[in-house]
Amino acid sequence: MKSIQELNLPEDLRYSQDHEWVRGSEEKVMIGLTDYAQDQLGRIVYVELPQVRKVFKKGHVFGVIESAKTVSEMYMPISGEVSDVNGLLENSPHLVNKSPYQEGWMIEIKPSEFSEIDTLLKKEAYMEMLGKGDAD
Amino acid sequence: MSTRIAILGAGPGGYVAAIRAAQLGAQVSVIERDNIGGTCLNYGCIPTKALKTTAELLETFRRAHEMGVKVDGEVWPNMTRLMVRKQRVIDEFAEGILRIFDSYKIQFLKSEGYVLEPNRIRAKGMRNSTADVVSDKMILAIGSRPLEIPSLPFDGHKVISSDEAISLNEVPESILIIGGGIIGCEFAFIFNSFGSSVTLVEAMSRLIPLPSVDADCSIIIQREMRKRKIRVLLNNTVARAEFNEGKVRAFIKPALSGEELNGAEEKQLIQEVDKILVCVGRKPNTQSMGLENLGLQMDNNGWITTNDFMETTVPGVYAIGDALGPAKAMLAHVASAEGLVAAENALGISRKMSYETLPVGIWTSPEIACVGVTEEQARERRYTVRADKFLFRALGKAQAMGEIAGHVKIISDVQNKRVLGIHIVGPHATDLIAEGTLAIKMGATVDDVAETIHAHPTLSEALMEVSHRALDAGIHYLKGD
Repeated sequence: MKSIQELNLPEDLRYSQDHEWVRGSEEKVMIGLTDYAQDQLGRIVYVELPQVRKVFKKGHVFGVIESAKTVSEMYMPISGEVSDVNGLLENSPHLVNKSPYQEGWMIEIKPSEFSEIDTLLKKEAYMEMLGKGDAD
Repeated sequence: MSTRIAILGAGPGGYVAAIRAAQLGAQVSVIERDNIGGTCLNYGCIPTKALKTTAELLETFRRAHEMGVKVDGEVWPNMTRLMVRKQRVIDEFAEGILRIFDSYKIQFLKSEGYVLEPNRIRAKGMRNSTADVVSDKMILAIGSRPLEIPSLPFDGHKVISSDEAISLNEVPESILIIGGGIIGCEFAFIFNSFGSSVTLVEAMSRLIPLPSVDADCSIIIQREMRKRKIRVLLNNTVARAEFNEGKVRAFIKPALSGEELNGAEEKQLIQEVDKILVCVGRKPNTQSMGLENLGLQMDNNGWITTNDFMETTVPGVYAIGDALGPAKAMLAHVASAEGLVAAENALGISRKMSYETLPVGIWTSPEIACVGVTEEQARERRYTVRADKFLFRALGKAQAMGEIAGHVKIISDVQNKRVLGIHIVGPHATDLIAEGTLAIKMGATVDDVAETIHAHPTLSEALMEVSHRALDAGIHYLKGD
């Protein structure tokens, strides 16, 4: 497993304590799992994503990810309505391991309260959280 | 003179009752209009397991590359061969039962039975031969049959029941299954493995919506269906169907009102398929058997009422099995247990039937098996409980087998650590449940199971591991996880 220094954590993203990342604007937000999460989970074997048009509140479960080691739920980092899901993951779940911020994205939403993004962590704060070992 | 026992129906209830009665010295006659073994052997448990075995083999072949096997060309089911094998399994088992009957001098009459009075059954055999079976005591083991949807009656060809689904000579290209209960879900996986495009429609909000089945098992099964591209439509029903050019067009509509749909499709959906398999329940075989001549009590749905000794409201007339309805669990092993109790009571041994500690097996992929209470039921009964889960993928054996989906959940009493329920979804769940059944039957605690050495590497370790977790001391889990 990667050390914290080895993790790929882009500067322009916001991170949740549950290891989702968020990128976007008031119109459209992309959500995925962080490099830390994919590394901890190990080989991803299946990703279950919601139907388009489903509405979720921040903190609610929007999907399930299965790895060879474990099964985890994924939580909405901010509230919104699902506008698209990454259909490629159905047959290629390994994209989450290979490219967590690009090809391995999970869902796209239209945020209902974009200001919630301010509650999420910037790279340094996320790294600090991981460093304290209170992640998971 | 020995007591004469007449048994109407030779399913797993009737034939087991017959053997027990003969062991107790009775002179036994069994009347059965179909082949010996009932629904279980001829249309249910056993033939579906033969189909399931072939389905699993196909699944394994499809993973040949992953498993390090080189297969040239594609792998397809050969339904003709499969039907021959299925029938051979049935016939050989039926012959075995008949041999046991012979060894006990049990009379087997392959006839339509018609009850004339509490001690007389008219057996109408082939070529209109009739014989009256006179008895001292009678056991009704008359079973059940698939329930029809009035607007979509069975035609045995395009709209079929499980009775026909086990005897198809060709794999339907597409099949719509109505009813996501035990039978519907089992067939969904079987036909999917055979190569059919499968759609499953269930009116309730989850698959296998039985109170004894843990909701988490339903979630896993739905996910496994999604992985296999089985289309699942929950909260939906089939309103009607149209038939043309060898196809059936099913009109599917939501079973919920608009508000409850939460973004799901509200409009009517039309699906064209080769066959519709209706698995919406079963009904008692109480028609045209002369039961009215007994005047015994039945409930509003026609299920027969008995007391704890399996005796109906007519003294000396007992009833067992599916004909008692879903309240008494319509399972082969329940019918057999009731058969033993009925036979013993009919012959002077007083024994009550107990439905406690009743295991249920469901042959989906992966399998489901449950015994005891669910977390929800335990809380309703005011137990202070905890529920702990162990994932199969944490076991070396599951990883080596390449069957990692699923978990074992244990429900235990916080006060005295007694095991109250075990719910397994995963590989070989239906075989693994026996340990949980024994644990609950014997009043075992989670310490008992945790301290029992389980052979490694086996799937049975999951029972031990989950018990460790119930003691806050899980071994193959991260600290605090």
